[in-house]
Amino acid sequence: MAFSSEQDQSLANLMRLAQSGDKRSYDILLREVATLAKSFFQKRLGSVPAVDDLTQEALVSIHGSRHTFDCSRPFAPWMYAIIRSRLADYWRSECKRMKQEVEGLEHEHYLEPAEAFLGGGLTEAVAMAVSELPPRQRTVVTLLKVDGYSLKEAAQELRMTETAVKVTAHRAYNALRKKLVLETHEHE
Amino acid sequence: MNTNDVINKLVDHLEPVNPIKPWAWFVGWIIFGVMALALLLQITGVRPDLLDKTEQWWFAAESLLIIILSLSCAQIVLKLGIPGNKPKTFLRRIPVMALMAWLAGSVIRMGGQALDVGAMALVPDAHAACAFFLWGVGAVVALPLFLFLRRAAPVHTSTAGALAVLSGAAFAAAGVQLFCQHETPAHIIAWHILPIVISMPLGLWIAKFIFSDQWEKSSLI
Repeated sequence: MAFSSEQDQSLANLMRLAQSGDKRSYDILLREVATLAKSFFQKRLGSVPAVDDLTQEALVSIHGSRHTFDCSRPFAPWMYAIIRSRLADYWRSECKRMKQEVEGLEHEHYLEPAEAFLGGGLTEAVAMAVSELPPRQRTVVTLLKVDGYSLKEAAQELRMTETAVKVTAHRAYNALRKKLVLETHEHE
Repeated sequence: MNTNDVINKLVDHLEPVNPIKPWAWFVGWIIFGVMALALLLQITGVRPDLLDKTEQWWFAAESLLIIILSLSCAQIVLKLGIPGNKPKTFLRRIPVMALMAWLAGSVIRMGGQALDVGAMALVPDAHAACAFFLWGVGAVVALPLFLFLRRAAPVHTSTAGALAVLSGAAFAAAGVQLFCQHETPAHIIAWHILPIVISMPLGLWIAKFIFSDQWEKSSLI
């Protein structure tokens, strides 16, 4: 996000005062930073509950790092470096969680109907379930599992990051799994 | 807890802080490193032909490259400790160029020696003590840099840790130059250069543990 030099100078001054213990200035600074951080996360994640958590984590990180800010340097690069690192940590933990969930899925017996799908061929039930997915999820699943695109190729095709494709695919698989399990139990 | 509550708590717990001074840490680290090397040389003694060696161009060049490698890595570490303080491109390239120049110079000297005395020039001797001095003293010299990183707020913790270890190892290598009399290029490559290169992945691994809680949530919330 582009900062005007006046805005940057203003925030740098507030941080300088906060470093000397001025609580009023610190309050103003943190509220400004919270708005900027929330906007940053929302642009990249959408309106998800994690945005508030991440905003709070960014504020705490800034609180813990305030002694590293050099008042003679711009405020924005310092602030955004911390905010970006919180987002990077979030993605790392999300990917780890997804990987664990996917590994868990492979051991569950009710994946049998999906095995044909995962193997490249679509059964009628799975095809129906895929067609009922939201458009983006449907496209990602079709590219990855039917058309045989790699993660990188799908990301390029859809102009998304690989991580975003993974997240979308994970959500799609979850939705398919729930639907197929429900249908399986309904037919028992 | 909502964001407003977090802000109120952080403001309530605000205390004055002394801004960290990377340059002061840099000077302190150099002084500490020199003292560590002085202690090492008390044990090993200085090579008797040191003054003659300094007049040989490749010895002087090698020593200069090692010092440049160590100091530039330390500078990068100090910059990485401050969020948003990205080291300039030329600074990032200096350690790579210094290490490559040192290695290239040693390989060329080794090739020249091989032409004179044959393939034996390619075989390093068994004096591995240099590597152990380098790692041992290097770990001590890297300590202030790790302390700085714990005090600071590095975003790229693994890179910073790897460079801190590399810097310490290179500083120690500069000291090893002052007592090691095994000068064959094969010895330099095997027991001086390679241990420094190996120290980098070691630093990456160590940093993962030391800085794993660097950005953990404060107990305030």
